[in-house]
Amino acid sequence: MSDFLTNFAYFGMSFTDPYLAFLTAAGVFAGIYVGAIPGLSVTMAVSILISFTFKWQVNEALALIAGIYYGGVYGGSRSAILINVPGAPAAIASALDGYPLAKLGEAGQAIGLTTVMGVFGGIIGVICLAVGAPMLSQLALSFAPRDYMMLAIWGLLLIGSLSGGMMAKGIFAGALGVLFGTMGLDPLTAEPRFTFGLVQLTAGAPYVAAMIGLFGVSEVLVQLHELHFPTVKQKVDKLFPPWKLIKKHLPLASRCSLLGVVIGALPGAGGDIAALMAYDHAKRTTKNPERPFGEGAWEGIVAPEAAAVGSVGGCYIPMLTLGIPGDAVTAVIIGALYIHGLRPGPMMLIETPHLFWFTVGNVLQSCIWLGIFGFMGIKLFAKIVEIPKSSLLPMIVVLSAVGAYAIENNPVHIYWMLGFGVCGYFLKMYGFQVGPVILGIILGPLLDNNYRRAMISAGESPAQFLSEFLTSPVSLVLVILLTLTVLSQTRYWARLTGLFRRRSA
Amino acid sequence: MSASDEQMDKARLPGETGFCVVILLFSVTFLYLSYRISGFSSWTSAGSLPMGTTLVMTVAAIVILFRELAKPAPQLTGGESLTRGFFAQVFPLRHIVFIAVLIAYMFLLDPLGFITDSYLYLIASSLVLGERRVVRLIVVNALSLAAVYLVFQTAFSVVLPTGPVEALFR
Repeated sequence: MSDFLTNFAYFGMSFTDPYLAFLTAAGVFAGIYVGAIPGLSVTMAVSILISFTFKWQVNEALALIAGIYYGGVYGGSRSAILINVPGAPAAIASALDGYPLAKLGEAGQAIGLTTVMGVFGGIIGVICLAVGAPMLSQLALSFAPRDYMMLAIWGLLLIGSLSGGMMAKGIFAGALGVLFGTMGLDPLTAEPRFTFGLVQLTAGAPYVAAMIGLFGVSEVLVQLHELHFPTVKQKVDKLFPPWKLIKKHLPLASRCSLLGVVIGALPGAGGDIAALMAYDHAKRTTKNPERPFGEGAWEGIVAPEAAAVGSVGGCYIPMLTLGIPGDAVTAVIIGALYIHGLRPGPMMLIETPHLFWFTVGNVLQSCIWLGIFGFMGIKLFAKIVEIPKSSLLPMIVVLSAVGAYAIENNPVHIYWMLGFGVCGYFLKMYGFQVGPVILGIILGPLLDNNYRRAMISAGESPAQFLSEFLTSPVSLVLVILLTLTVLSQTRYWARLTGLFRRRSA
Repeated sequence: MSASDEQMDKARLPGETGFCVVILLFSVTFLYLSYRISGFSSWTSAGSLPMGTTLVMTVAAIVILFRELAKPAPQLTGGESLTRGFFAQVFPLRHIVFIAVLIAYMFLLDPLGFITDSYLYLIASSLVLGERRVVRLIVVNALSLAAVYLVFQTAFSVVLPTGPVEALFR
C-alpha cells in the first residue's frame, strides 16, 4: 500500500510542482509550433535541446522533452489541415482528408476534432504505458542477453524497412549507426576501435553532435531545395466540434489509439507508421462515410490523429522497460537519459520507480496541455507557420551550432555537427533515412555488450550460441518475429498473402 | 502523380551511382579496419561486432549498387553532363555557398563572440536564401537573435563564446 502511495506521489509530481508544470506546458506549446512548421521536426528540436538541458535536473529536462514530443506529434496535423503541408511525418495521413475538409470551410471543426481525438488517443496511450510497462518490465527481467540482441536488431530492421524506401538502404543506415556506436575504447577490453590514434575519439563518437547534424543541419540543407511553399488562407471558425460528431467517432478513435500504442511499442516503429496504418484501417472498416475518403471524410482525420498521439505513449514503453527506443525521438531521449547518468532498462522500474511514475504523470499532463493549447492561438498559429524560410533556416543553424557547442563548450563539436550534417544531406538526397543511423548509434553499444555476453555464456561456441535461440521460448518468439519482418519486405510475402486471400475469397 | 513524375521517382539522381560506390568503399575500408582491431582471435573479441556490422554494410552496399544500376539513367535536360546535372539537381550553388557561410561562422565563433558572429551569419545566410528586404535582414534578425540570446542566458545558462558585444553586458 505504501508503495502505491509513494508511486502516486511521484505520479503527481509534475502536477504539484508549478515549475515542472510550467515546463511541460511550455514544451507542449513550443512543440505544437515546432511540429506545425514544415521543416522543423520534433526529433530536430529534441536533439538540439538535449545539450541545453545538460545542467538541468533530469525531471525538468524530461518534462520539457515530453511536452515537445506530444505537442510536435499533434502540431503536424494543423499545417496538414490548413496548408496541405504535413508539418511532421506523422501528419502525412492527416493531410489526405484534412485539407479537403479545410477547402470545404470546415478547417475549424477539423482542428477541433483532431485535438479532441489526439487528447483521447494520448490518454489511452498513457493508460497503456502505466499498465503495460510494469508488466513488460517484469517479463524483461527474464530476458537473456541474446534476447536484447534480437530486440535491438529487430528495432533496426523495423525502422529501416517500415518507413518506406529500399530495405537494403534502411539496413545500411542502421548498420552505419551501429558502427558509430562502437567507436572509442571497447568497454570490455579497452582496445581502441576506430579512434585513428585520436585521444578525443577514445570516449566514442560524439553522438549528440551527430544527432544535431543529422536531424538539424541535414534537414536544413534538404529544405534549401524548396524555399517557398504556397500558403493558402483558410477561414477558421467554430473550433469546438459538436458532441454528436465526437461520439460517433469514439469507437474508431479507440481502435486506432490502441493500434497506435501497439505500433509505437514496437522497437523502431513510431507515429508516422501508426498514422498511416490507422488511416488504412479506417478506410477499410468505415462502411458508409459521410464523404468519401480523400474528399473530407471525418474518419480520415480521426484515425491518424488518435493513432499518432497514442503511439507516443507506446514509444515510451520499450524505452523505459528495455532501454530500446520506440522511434527516432525516443532514441534521442535515451541519449539524454544516458547523459544524466540513467540507464533505461528493466532495472529502471525497480531501481528508480520515481522516474517511471514521474514520466507517466508527466505525459498525462502533456495530453491535458495539448487539449488546452489545441483550442487556442489559431490566429497566432497562422502567422508563425508563414515565417519565411530565409529567416527560419539560418536560425535553426544557429540553434544547432550553439547546441553542439554547449555539449562541452568546445567548437570541435560544431565541426562534427557539420560533418554529420553534410553526410546526412547526401544520404537523404539519395533515398537513405537518417532515423536508423541514430537508432543504431544508441543501439550499437547495447548490441555489442549483449552479443558478447550471450556468446561468452554459450562458451564461445557458435553452435551452442545459435541453438539457444531455438531452445529458449522468449528467443524463439523473437526469432520468428524477426524472420517475419524480413520476409514481409520481400516479394515472396506478397505472393503468400495473395494466395491466402484468394483461398479465403 | 503523372507518368513523368513516376519516371523521375524511378530514375537515378545524378551522382547516385557514385555515391553508392563511395559507401561501398567506405564499408570495405571499415571492414578492413574492424579486422585490424583484433583479427579473428575469438568470437567475442573487441572487433567482432564491428566486423559483423561492416560485413552487413558491405553486403547492403553491393545490393544497393546493383539495384541502383537497374534503374533508368539520371534525367538530364538538353545534353547536360552528369557533373552539371549533379550540381543542378543535388548540390546546387546555393547549397555550396550556404555551407561555406556556415563554415566561416564556425571558425569565427571564438574570435568574434556569439552575438557578432551569429548576427553576421544570420544576415549573410538570409541573403544567400534570397531575402532582400533590408528591414527583415537587419531588424528581424537582430530581434530574433536577441530573443535567442536571452533564452540561452536565462533558461539554459549555456556558456557562449564571448566577444566585444557580450563584454558590454557584464
